[in-house]
Amino acid sequence: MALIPGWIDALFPVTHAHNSLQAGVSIVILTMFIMHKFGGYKEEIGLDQFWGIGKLQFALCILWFWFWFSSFIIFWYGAKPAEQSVLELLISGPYLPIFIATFCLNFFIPLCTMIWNPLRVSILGPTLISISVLIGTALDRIRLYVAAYSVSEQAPAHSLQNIPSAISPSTYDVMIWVGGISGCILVYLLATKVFPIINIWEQKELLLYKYHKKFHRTEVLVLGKPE
Amino acid sequence: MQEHTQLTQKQINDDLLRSVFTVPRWWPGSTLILLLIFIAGACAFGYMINKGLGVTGLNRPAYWGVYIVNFVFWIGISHAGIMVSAILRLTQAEWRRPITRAAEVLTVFSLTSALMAAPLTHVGRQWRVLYWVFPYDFARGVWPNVRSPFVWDPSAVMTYLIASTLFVLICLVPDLAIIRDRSKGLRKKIYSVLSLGWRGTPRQWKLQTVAGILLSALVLPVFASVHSIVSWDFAVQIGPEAWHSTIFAPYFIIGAIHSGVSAVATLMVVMVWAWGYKTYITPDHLDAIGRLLIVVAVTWFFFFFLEWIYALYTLEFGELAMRELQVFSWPYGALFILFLFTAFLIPVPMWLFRNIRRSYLWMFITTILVNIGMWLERFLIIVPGVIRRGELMFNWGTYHPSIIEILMVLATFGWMMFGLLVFSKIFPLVPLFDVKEGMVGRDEIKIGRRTVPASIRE
Amino acid sequence: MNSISNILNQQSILGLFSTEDSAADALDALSEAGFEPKEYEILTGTPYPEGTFGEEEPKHKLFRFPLIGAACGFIIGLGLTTATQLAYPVVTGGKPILSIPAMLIIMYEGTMLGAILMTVAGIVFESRLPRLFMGAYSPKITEGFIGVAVTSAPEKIQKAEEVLKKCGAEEITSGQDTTE
Repeated sequence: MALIPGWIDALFPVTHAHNSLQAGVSIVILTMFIMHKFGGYKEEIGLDQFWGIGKLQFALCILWFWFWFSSFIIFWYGAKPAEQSVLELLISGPYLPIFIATFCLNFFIPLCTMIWNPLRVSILGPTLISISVLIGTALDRIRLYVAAYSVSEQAPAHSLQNIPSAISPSTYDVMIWVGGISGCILVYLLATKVFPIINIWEQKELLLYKYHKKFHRTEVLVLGKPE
Repeated sequence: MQEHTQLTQKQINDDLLRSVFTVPRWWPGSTLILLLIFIAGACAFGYMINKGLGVTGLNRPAYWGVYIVNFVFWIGISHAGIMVSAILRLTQAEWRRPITRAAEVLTVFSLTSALMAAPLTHVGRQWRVLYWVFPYDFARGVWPNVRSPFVWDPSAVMTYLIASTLFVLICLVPDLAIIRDRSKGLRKKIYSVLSLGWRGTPRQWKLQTVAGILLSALVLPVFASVHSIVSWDFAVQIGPEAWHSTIFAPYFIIGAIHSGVSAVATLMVVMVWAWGYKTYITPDHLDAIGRLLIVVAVTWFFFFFLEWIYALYTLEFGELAMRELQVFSWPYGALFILFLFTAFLIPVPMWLFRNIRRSYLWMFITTILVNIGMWLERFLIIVPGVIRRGELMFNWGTYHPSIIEILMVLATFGWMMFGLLVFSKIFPLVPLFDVKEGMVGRDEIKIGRRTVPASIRE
Repeated sequence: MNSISNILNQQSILGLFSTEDSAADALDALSEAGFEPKEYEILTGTPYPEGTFGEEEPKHKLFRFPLIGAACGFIIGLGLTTATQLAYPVVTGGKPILSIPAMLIIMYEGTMLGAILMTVAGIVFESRLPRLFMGAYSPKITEGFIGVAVTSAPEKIQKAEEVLKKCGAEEITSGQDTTE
C-alpha cells in the first residue's frame, strides 16, 4: 500500500489471504493427485476426497472475482485521479496481458469448467483447474509486487505521474523461481521419506466411525459424529 | 447431536402442526400489539407524506438518517436465512433441520421491512420511486440510471426477495400436503390447491432434495451480491471520508451474517418458549449456532479492525477527524462504546463457555445485545459520516431522529414479528419433512461401551 | 388414440403398509406378478434414501432449467442495460455511456434471477405438479404409512389387490374412494 501513491486498499489483506488460500488448496489437490496416481494411495485418496475439495476450490474461485471486483468497483466508480493511476498501472496499463491471464486462469476458466458436474466430480478436473489457479496466482503476484516495487521513487507524490512500463524477468529471475519451486518440492519429498504422508491414526479412527450397511433394499453409508 | 428423541411421523405432525390447527393463548394478544405498532408507524408515515420530510430529523447536511440505518440493518438480518439454510444444507449439517424454515421466513419478512425502510420512507416522494427504479421509459426517454448504485440496489434486493420467497414456497409443498390431509372443508380445499397435488412419490422427494441443494447454490451468490451492492451505496462515494473504502463489501456482509445468525438464534429461543419446541430445538442446536456465532463474530471483528487500521495508518486529516467524531464526541462516543460492548466484547467471551451456549436465556440475551450493537454500528457509520464538518462544507448541523422516524423504525420491527406470527398460523414454522428425514436418517454406532450418534448418507 | 383410451380406462388401487420392508416386498411381488415398473409406485410421507424400496432411480433433466434461465436472464440484462443507456445517452459521474462494471452488476442479477425462476419452474414441472386429480392416495401416508399405488387396466387390478393383501397391506383403497 505504501509503495504506489493512491493505492489504499483496505481489502488487500483479505484478498491476499484469500488468493493464498486458493493457491494453497490448489497445491493440496495437485499433491493429492500425485499421491493418488504415483504414490500408491488410490484407496485412501479417492473420488470422495477430490469431490469434497473440488467444491471448496470452486467456491474460492468464485470468491476470487468477488474480492477483486469489490476493490475494483470502488476505485473505478470514485474516479479519483490517484485511484485511476493505480487502476492503469495494475490492470489496464503495462500489466494488462498478465491481468487478463490471471482473470482467466483464477476465475473464468474454473467457473466455466467446474460448473459442470462431470468435471467437478472427477479426479482429473480439479487437478487441471489447480494447475490453472497456481499459474494464475503466480502471475498475479508478479503483477502486484513487481508493479508496486517499480514505482517506489514516486512514493511521496499524491498520485502516479508516470506509469512505469512492465518489467520482464531476466534469466536469473527465472532460474531463482525454478530453483525455489524445485527446492520446495525436494524438501517435501525428503519429508515424506521421514514422516508418513497420510495421518495413520486418523485413518484408523475413520474406520471406527464409517461403514456401509444394508438399508432395506439399498446400501447406505453410516457416518458417526462423536463430540 | 447427542440429545435426540426418536419420534413417529404422527407425533411430529401433532407437535409441529399444533400452531396451525390451534391458537396459543398468547397469540392473539401479541399479534394485536404488533399490528398496533405497525399501524402507529403507518400513521406516522401518512403524516410524513402529508407534511413532507421536514417532520423528520433529516436536513442539511444529515441527508441520511435512521431510515437508511434501518434499511441496512434489515438487509443484514435478511442474510440469516440463507446463511443457516443454504450453507448448512450444502455442508450437510444435521442440526439445521428444525430451524431452516424459520430462518428463511425471517429473511423474507426482513427484506420487506428493509423495503419499507428505504424506498417507502426515506425517499421523500414515494410515488416517484417507480419512475427511477422500474426499467421502463415513463416519460421523455429517461430510463433508470444503470450506473447508479441506487438502481443496482433494487435489482439485487428484488432478486433476493423473489428467490427467498420461492425457496420458502417450494420447500413448503410437502408440509402443505400434510395439513391438507389433516384438514376438512374449506381449509382442505385451500391447502389442496396450495400443495399442488403432492403425493410423496420418490420422484417428488428426489426433486425436493435436489431443489434444496440447487436453490441453495443459486441463492448463495445472490446473498453475497445483495449486501455488497448495499455497501457500495456508501463505498463508491468520495465525499464522506470514512466511506470510500474497498473493505465495505465483505465488512457489511460479515456484519450481516453476524446480526442475521444472532437473529436466528433469538428466534430459536422464542420458538422454544412460545411454541414449546424443546424436543426439536435442543441445547445441542443452540450450542452449534453459538459456536458458529463465535467464528462469525471474530471474523467480523477482524474486518472491523482492518477498516480502522487502514483509516488510521494513512494519517489523512479527513479520516482522522472522522474517527475522532465517531469515538470522542458526544453522543457518538458513548454509542461507540455501547456498540463495541454489545456487538462483541460482552457476547463473544460469554459464548466461549459451553454452559452459556446451551442456555436458552443467555443465548437470547446475548443475541439481542448483538443486534442492538449492530444497529448502532450502522448508525455510527452513516450519521457521523454525513454530519462531519469537512472542507468546503457550508452547512453545519447535527442530527436528531424525530418521533416520526422512531415510530417508523418501530413499525418495521412490528411488521417483521407480525409477519412471522401470521405465517406461523398458516404454515408450520418447523419443516416437518426435514425433521422426519432426519429421524429416518439417524443411526447409532456401538464402539465398545460407547454409543456414537451417526447419520445415514446415500 | 388407443393409448389415450388405455389411460382413460385405467384404474388404480392403493395398499397401505406400516413397515418399509413389507412395502418393499409388495413391490417385488408386483414385479414378479408381471406388473411393469411404470404401473406401480411408492408413496411416502418422508423422504427415504434412493432405492430403499427397490424402486428405480427417478431420472430428471432439472439441470437444464437453470442453464436456460441463466442464459435468458443474461441476455435480458445485457439488452436492458445496453438499450437503456443508449436510448438516452447522458454522461453521469464521468462514466462512459456503456459502463461495463455497472452493467455487469445488473446483468449478474438478471442472470441469477433467470436461473432461479427457471429452476423453480423446473422443479414444479419435473415433479409432475400441479396434479389435478389425486388418484390413489390416502391421508394416512402423511401419518407414517407407506403406500403402494398400482395403476393398471381394470382386468389386472384384481390381481394387484391380491398381491398387496398377500404382502400384508393393512388397508386397500381404490382411486375413486380417496378423493374428497
